[in-house]
Amino acid sequence: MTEPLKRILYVEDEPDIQTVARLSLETLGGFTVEICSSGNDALSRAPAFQPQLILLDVMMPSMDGPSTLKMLRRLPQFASTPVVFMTAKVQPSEIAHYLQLGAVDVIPKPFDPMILSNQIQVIWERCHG
Amino acid sequence: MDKPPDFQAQLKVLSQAYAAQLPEKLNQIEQSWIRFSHNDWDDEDFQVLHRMVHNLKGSGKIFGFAKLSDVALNLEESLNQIMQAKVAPSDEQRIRIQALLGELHHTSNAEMLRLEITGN
Repeated sequence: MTEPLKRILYVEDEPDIQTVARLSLETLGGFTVEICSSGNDALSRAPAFQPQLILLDVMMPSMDGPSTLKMLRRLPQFASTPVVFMTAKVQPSEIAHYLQLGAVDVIPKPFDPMILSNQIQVIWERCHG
Repeated sequence: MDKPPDFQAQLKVLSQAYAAQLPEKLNQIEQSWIRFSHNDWDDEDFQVLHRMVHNLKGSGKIFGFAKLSDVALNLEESLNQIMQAKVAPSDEQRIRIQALLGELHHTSNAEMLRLEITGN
């Protein structure tokens, strides 16, 4: 039986998007969500929060999503934590690139807050199937 | 599965709050463009402007402002062209961007009027 997904780390720099994603994931998904506004914020807070899955915006100032993923993977406890990128760049070649970087999936932006939790749940179950 | 009515209500409140902030967001984008376009190339000024437009593109559609997102996308693409050259924008680029900024305001007003009329 798949371990239930409870804790999601969401890395996104835009406050309005943070708010609606949190609402969607917590209210509809029942997840516990920790929001980080930058890659550096994520690296500093992830160890204490111990996310089971990480949602990672691609375009962020200073440290972008792929760089954040690379740094997270250096932390032993996150070597295999499922990471899902969120980005508007979803051409097949771009998606292939993100998967090659180590993400398990890509969710297109703008996302639909009505279905975001379902999308995450499907990805989680696929990862543990 | 039916979405909890509370979720719909909360989303509506967020959308209304987003709409209320839009005039200020657009004003900030405009001011940022004025600052950037009046100087020689300044990387920081450009990044601030680009980020604001990028965020508007990403957030607009989520909150029900799809057309605004589309205009922001066009503006972002115009800025990307400037970014590739890394020189002050040409006259043609300035005109294009100024037109898109005007379109942002126009679209924002139209979308907010639609929200008032439909109550959505």
